[in-house]
Parts: sequence; C-alpha cells; structure tokens
Amino acid sequence: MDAINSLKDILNERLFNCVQRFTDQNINEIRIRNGLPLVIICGGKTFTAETVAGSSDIQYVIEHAAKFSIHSHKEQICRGFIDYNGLRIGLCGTAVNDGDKLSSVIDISSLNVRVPSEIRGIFDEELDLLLPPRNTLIISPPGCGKTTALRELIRLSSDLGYRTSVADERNEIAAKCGNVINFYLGRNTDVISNMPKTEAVSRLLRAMNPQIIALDELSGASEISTVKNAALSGVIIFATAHGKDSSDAAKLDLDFFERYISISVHNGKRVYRIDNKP
Amino acid sequence: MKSCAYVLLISAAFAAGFRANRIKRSTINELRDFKDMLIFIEYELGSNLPIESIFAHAAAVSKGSAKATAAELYSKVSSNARASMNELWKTALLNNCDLPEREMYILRELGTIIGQYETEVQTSCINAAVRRLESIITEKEAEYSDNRRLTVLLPPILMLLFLIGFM
Repeated sequence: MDAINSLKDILNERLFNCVQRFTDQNINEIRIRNGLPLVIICGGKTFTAETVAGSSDIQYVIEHAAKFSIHSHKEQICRGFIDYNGLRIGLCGTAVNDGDKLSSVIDISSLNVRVPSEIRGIFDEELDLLLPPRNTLIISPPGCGKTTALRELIRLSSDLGYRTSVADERNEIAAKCGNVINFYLGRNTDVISNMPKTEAVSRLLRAMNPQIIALDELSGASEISTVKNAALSGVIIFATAHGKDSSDAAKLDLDFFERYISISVHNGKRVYRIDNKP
Repeated sequence: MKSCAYVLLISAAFAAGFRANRIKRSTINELRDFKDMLIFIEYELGSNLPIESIFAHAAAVSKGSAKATAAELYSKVSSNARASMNELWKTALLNNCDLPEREMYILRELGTIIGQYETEVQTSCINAAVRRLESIITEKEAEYSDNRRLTVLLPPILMLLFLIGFM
C-alpha cells in the first residue's frame, strides 16, 4: 500500500508539504487539531511541526477522504472514523443526538490520521509457538501494533493453506480499495470489509466455509458472543482487543481463547509475548 | 447600388433581431437543462449515492452545458482533484455555462452544500434552487412569447426609419 500517495490525496498542499519532511521516518499517525500545530508520530516518537491547522484544512481532509461524498460516510462518521485506502481517520467533534441515537457529528475539531504499516517476519522466531493455529487473541494498549501483528498472523496461516476469512469492519486489515486488497494477506484469504463484525462473521460462516476467521478490535457483548459461537462451531478465531496484557482477557470475558499474544513497547521497540494455554 | 446597400442593411438588422431572439431562447433552454440536472441530482442524493456516481449518471442523462458541467465535475471528483467541492462546482459552471449573473448565482451557491454531511439539507437546497429556476423560466418564457415578434422586427424597423430619415 502506498501510504504517501494516499496522504497526498487527503491532505491539502500546505499540510502535505509539512508531512512530506517525515516520509522517510515511518509515519504512524498525523494529528490535525483546529488552531494547533500539526503533530506527527513517527516510529513511536512525537514531532510537533510549525504548520498550524485550521478548520478549512480539516474540512479538506474530510471532503477528500470521503471522496467529496460526506453524506455517504455518515454512518462511519457517527462511529468516529472515515477510512481512505487503508488510512483510518479518527474524528472528534460535537455529537448531535436524536433521542437516544447519535444522529451526526458536527463541528469536527480534530483528526487523527493513522497510517497502517506492514511488517513481515515479526513472528519468524516464534513460529513453533504459533503453529498449529489455535484461537488467538492479540492484546495490547492502543497504538502498539495489534493490527500489524494480526495481519502477519493471517498471512502465515493462509500461506500454510488454511482457508482464512477476514471480517474487516474498518477496512484497516486489508486496506481494500475498490476490489483490490492493498496488504498481502496470504494465498487463501477472503475479505469482507465495511460490515459490522457480528454480521460479517455469520455471513463468512455461511458462505465461505472458513477454517480461520480473523477480526480486529473485539469489544462489546454482542461481538464477543458472536465470536464465541463461531469458535464453538469449530472455526479458529484470530482477534485483537485493547488491554494491558493477557491477564486482562478474563476481565474482558475473552478467556475462551487458547493463545494470547501480548504486545508492549520498550524504548520504541515492540516486544511480543506469546502464552499458550495448556 | 444604394438600394442594394439598403436591402443589405435591413437584412442585417433582421438577422440581428433573429439572433437576439435565439439567445433568449437558448438561455431558457440552458436553464431548463440545468433545472433537469438538479432534479436528477436531488433524486440520486435521496438514494445516498456517492457524488462521483451521481455526476457520472447526470453527465449521461443531461443535455447541453448541464451535461458538460456534470462531465467536468465527474472527471475532477473521480481523480480526487486538489480543490474543495465548492471550488470544483464554481469552476465547472464558469467553464461550461453562459447564463446571466442572477441565474449563475443560484447555481453557484449550491457548491457549498453539494456532497456535505446532511442529505436532507442538500436535497432541500437543491429543491429551493429548482423552484427559483422554474419561476425564472416561466417569467422568461412569458417575456419571450410576448416580445418574440418585437425582438425580431424592432431592429429592421428602426433601421428602416433610420434610412428613411437619412434619405
């Protein structure tokens, strides 16, 4: 995936010129806040640029990420993000409620453009701990690289011949653009994107005869119960969740997994710990 | 020789009258084309379609300068042009349509709402613009049918009077 070209598409000239200076440093995130300088996070380090973002810059990003059709992305905006070619643009603004339901988000004041990365070979030294595939939960605090690790796990299993299906609700795992999958996820992988996870899992079970189903950021009772049911039906689940480490799994009602990969960051380096349940 | 020149002058005045008439007619037709395009866009927006598809469809079904405007917008939107929707909309109108300032203003203002967050806001603004265009078309058509003969005949009559006076 060419993240730089995608950034060029969604940032106006002023912001892109500022970001361009960091393109050789593995950009993780770009924070755009109204009236404040641009903040760029590269390889875990935070840089504050001189360029100050304004509301027209924010409007430009939203308009271009939505391909000039903000109305078609209303549901995504209500869920707090827009995706563009695998970039995930988180939004903060003022919520407008219609009764109990969130009907829109207006006055968007800050954006977080997350740039996905593909790191191959992160589990090369621990392959014997990861094979054969079992129900696996990748757990870490935000920003430690859960999705990158999940992508690698999918690729490894798929290339070993396991029929793998991905429920990619936010289009972050595969970074699908049209019908092209931008991240290599293996030879035996099928992807459903932009569909709520609970619905995607049941569709994949019915239609794709998967041996493995992978999904990102498991949360909420309905998602957990759908995944539990899928695991009970004999499918292997690969999932990620926010938490400190594998000891949080029980608190999150995610202790049915058989293998836990905890990720932590020490001195800018990611450390992976793999625990297999006996 | 003189009479030949007079005939030529009167014919030229006739041609000018016909031309003025044709300009009025073409403005009405152009307004109709834009009105139809806006009605189409309003309908497609109701189905929550993305702007790119809406402009592609509008370019296929519209006529005249409305068709050219929709086609330009489709090409800019599909290539993710480095400008805001408002700028793209205004530029496309400027490049393709030749309407008087009052009518241009009505169309130009839609650039600020097309593709924005609320579908209902977009459709109601487009609907308001369509109603304003409809009343302008009705007004212009009435004016056209009342003054059609006068527009064609006035220049040659004036020319004839001028020539009689000159002789």
